[in-house]
Amino acid sequence: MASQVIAESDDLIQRGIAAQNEYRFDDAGLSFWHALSCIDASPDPKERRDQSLQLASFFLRVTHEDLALLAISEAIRLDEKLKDHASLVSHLIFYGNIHMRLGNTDEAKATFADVIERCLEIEDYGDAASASTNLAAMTANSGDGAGAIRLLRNSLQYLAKKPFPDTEFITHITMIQTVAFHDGDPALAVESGIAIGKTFSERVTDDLRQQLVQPLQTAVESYLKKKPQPNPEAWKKKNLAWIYSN
Amino acid sequence: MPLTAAGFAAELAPLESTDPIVQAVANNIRTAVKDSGVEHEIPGLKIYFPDFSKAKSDATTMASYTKGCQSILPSIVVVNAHFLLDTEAAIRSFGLYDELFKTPYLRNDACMFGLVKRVREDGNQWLQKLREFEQEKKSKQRNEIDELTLTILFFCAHEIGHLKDGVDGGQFVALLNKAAPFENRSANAAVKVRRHASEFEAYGFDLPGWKGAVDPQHEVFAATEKLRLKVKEEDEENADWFKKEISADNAAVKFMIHYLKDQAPMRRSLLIRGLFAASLYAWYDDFLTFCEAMNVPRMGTKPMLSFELMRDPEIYIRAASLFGDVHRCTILRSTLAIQEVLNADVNDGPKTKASDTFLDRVSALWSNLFGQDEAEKDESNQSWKVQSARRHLLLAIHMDTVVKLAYVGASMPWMKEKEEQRGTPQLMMIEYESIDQSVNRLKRMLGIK
Repeated sequence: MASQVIAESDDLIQRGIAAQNEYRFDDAGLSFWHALSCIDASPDPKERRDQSLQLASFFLRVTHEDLALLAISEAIRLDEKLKDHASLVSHLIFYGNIHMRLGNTDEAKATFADVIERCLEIEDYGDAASASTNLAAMTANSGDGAGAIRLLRNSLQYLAKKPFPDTEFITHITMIQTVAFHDGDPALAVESGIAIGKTFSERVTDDLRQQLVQPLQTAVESYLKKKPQPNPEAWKKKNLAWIYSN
Repeated sequence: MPLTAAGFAAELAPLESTDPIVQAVANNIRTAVKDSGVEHEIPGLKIYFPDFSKAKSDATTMASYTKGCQSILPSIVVVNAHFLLDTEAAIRSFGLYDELFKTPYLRNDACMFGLVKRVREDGNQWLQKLREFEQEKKSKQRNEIDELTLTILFFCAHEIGHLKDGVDGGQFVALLNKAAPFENRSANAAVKVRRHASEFEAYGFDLPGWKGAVDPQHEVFAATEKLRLKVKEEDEENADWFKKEISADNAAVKFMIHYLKDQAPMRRSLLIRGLFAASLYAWYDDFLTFCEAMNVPRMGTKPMLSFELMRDPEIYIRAASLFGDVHRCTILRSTLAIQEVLNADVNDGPKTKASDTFLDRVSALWSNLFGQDEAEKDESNQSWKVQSARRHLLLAIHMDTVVKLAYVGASMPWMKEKEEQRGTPQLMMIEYESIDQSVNRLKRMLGIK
């Protein structure tokens, strides 16, 4: 049963929602802030951690990113206190993702690097891969294509040890885009294209396909120059039907 | 009997704030001031950072009390620790976002008011959380104390400027007092805002169609001038104070240029970030106080100042309070300070014409600064310049409300005359821009969707 503190916090959230619905973002922000600060009074760190996490997700949804950052930061601090390493890692990824969304690249990168290190220590390869792929995307955006490709290859190695389809799908997409924008080894893009066709074809939407057709076809042409196939058209249809079919 | 320097020391030293950040900033500032050599000009210069809540009796009755910062002749500068902490809260709040356009407080006026309300109602706890947040950060980025130091140093340098000019009781800011009545004397209001409008015009902040307010040959100017003669003595005294404030601002800018000249160019960005957060926060703090006191209704997230002023033009008189007594507009001062500090970096100065608007000059300055990097293409250098330029430009754009209030307020005596001649009131609606409108203007200017 929720304690009185949590009930108070939930009540403040409802008041904040009512204010936000009337465009009173100032009063909404104030109620939401009180909903976060009041839980400091709870003597139970697990209860405080769980409520902080819920609030972080909620604040992000209602676009009070400052409060979301403070809430998830509180959850992380309490994870450490509770020595809950599994939660800690996923909350750190959440924290890094908020910074990434806000364009705080230094903090997001440092967070993902920290997550990778922590995860490898405890052989949590799934989360290590998530963090490595996120870090790769940011590294690519800041112009370091080689660094990004290295991180993506690391992600795929981690995923080979602990499959995590969502992350693997994103990693392959990021690989194709990174190779295209940074003149990477086309074989890597082709491998990712083949992997998407084999395992994730159901996830490929028309929009995504549109985005990937051109970079992947360019990579395929370069790849086939280096590794000619007896019947290139048949090879393309066989391995990358999702790109070459109409 | 007035207190001596020793008397002030006895009054202020026991109140010195024990807050660790205030102490850190105070130490940085004292060192910077000592290194500047200004003590040769002001022997025995002392800077105090009192926490007036520790006073045994009502602090506001103390001779040294200030809500912000003040100079006390011959050699004392007082910075209210509470003011410093509010500034810290503003800087840390804005500091949560590296990219200006991702800052949620800039989504609309209600979001800016939300930040002000949070600091007003629960400032200590909000600040504590922000400090804890910084400690938990994973990156090495730790700029907030530097930003705060540079910002408060600029305020202190203003007070030091007053001391050099022999001005007692000069204060950097005039925060709008909720408890005090707003300006209700039409002559004083019109004359005061005309002084501001004239200054705005001199810097290139004009308002097309309203130039008569600041043109001595124009009938609009003449109508206000008639009123000025009724309050001539007070106006001359205020005008004299206004000049002292400008002189102190100039001294502060010179101090900062000297202080920053041998430091990495990127350090300028910390001052720009600090001044941006502090001045925008201070403006919205005053604006919220004004809107609450005047019961200005909202439409969506925006205070409907336009409708209120159309419904009751007398509010222009009250709005003169937003300009303080003798102070220059806070956003203007920050914008000018940034402009001057950066001008010192541009070897041959921005290439602008006298007829250019302030925004033209700001744009030219930044083009020049970006041009300096063409050869080196230093990415981190480009990044701080992009973010600093956006902040500088946004402050200049967001002068919109104060510029309109000043020009239109200074034209009110003429409008009143015309209404009386005509026998019917003039319906006049001026659009006042919210922060999101200013942000959108900036984005359009930069070609950002």
